[in-house]
Amino acid sequence: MTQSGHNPERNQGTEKPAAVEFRLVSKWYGHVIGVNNFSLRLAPGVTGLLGPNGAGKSTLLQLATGQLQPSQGEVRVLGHRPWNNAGLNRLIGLCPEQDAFFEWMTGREFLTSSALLAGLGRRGSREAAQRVLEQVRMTEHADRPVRGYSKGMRQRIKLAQALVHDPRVLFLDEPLTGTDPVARRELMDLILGLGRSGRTVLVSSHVLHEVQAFTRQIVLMNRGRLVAFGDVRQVRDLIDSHPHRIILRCPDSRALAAKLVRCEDVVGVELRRADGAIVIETRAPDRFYGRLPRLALEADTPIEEVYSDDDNLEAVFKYLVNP
Amino acid sequence: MNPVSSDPPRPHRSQQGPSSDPDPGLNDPLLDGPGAGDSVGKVTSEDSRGLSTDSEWPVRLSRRVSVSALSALLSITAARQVRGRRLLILCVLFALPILFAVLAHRFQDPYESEDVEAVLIFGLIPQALLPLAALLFSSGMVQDDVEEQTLTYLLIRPIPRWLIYLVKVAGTWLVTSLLTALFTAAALAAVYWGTGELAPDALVQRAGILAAIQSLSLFAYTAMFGGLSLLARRSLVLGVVYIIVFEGVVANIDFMIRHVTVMYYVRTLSVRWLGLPVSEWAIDPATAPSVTTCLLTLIGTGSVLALLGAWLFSVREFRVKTPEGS
Repeated sequence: MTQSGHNPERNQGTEKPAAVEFRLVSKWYGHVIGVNNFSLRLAPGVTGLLGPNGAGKSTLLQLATGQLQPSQGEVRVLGHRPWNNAGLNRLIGLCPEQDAFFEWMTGREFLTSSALLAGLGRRGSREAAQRVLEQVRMTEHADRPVRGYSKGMRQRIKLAQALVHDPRVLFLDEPLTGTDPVARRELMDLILGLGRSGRTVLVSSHVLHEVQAFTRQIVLMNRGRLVAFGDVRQVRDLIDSHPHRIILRCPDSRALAAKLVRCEDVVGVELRRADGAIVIETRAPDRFYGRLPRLALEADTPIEEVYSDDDNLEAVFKYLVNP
Repeated sequence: MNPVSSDPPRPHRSQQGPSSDPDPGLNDPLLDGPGAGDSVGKVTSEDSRGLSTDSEWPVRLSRRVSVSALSALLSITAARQVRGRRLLILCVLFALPILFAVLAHRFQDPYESEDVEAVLIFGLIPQALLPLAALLFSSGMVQDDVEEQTLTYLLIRPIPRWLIYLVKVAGTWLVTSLLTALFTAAALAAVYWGTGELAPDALVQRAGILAAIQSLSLFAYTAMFGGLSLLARRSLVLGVVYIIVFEGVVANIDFMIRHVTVMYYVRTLSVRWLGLPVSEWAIDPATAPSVTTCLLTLIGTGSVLALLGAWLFSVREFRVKTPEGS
């Protein structure tokens, strides 16, 4: 992953403009900082926006879609400031995170209304609604009220409304939340296709595995700040070099802990007083998991529970911010 | 990768579009489920017409707003207003004059339809029910979309914010005007039911004139309370206070100050168009404002307030799922 480190204000005359650009953007809500001094340039293709809950991802997308005005700095989408810029909305689409709809409408009515609001005209709107219904595979359920949809169906319709006017730039806020594996696969294919067709797509998520399925290019965000920006492989390398914390529970913790401290790849062992669990730190989790059954046998104690304490991005972000 | 620690973030400035290909070595197990490999849902090459990674920015933007977009917004606004508790409350409120008219028929002896009409049709409805109905509908005009988080779907469309607000005002005004006109006609019919004092065509004409007067007052009220809802969180409470103090008390004071109330112009129009007794409300037709003045005042006030609200709406942020908004 790359942090080139040069000032975004420099070389402005020589660089080609980005489809989406945040230049030293900050957004405050009173004393709360939503986005802090954030700079980023995105070219066409799919980019994943990763961060734990409360990282500022939604605020960033709302800034990019002109719903919020930056407290400081500048946002540009296709070369225009999005705040209060209705004309730009013809070229951008947003799939918001909130699970909100005009509940009295059917899926088709919702999409037709969205297309009408986007200025497609009556006939064009009907056709566009049908097109996106097919894209998100909701034709069969199109004439049922939205209020009766499952979470996955609602996600599909929400994504469809973002596509209905065929925008050039798309902002998708947690588009896979609540979807089943089949729907996830289909929506991922759709997002991939959007990126391949030359659109600029920024997809937010707090699940790394989700994002890496449709892009290598990711933006890491935490507490309103850009943590890193670049290739997903390097983030994974970072995660792998980051000592993993694994929690073990067994009847005879002391015996097993005695075995564990002798392992070369275990860099730390702690016996937690509160619940008697063993907390180990290792830089080679795969090797450790492979060796664990033999160690348990040697210590003559069954393993009751094993789980990783690092299966969340928060741990990675903590590491990245304070290496 | 260089994680950022305490320095301000320094972005990578790649000009190449990031690859859209998923990392081939990092398969999500979920992708191997049923449906994997389907080509459905993919964007075809036809979808990419007109898109280019070498586009010149800034792109040219069209400022045109389509009529169908505005009619869709109007329809959404109206559909939202006639749903839920609000309509139920309006029905209950406007059932009161009908109920009182029925009770008067039953218990007033002899029954004086003109007195009952004066109290219910020219008193209770315009002085209390009409502004309350306007307050009820206008205060939720924007707030409902904020609370239900659907405002996003309107703000991300190519319709200027000020125009979104004005269409919302128009939708709310149309709905309240239509509903109150129907209820008032029903109340009028209840007052004159079985008396033979007003022929059906005269009743329809009277109801039509009342609907026109009410519609004018509702325009001013809708614009006023709509703007109030953008300024204050407790707009319902403030609106009720306004209705009691200004339209309830000040409008009845025989002094210049009543010229600042909507009620004064409604009464003046009622006197001039319906020929109500001049002693009513101490309005002297010789010195009272003309019909033109009344119309200009009500329409002018409503227009100015609606434009102010539109300006407020266009400069205000509506936060959805952000630290303050969630």
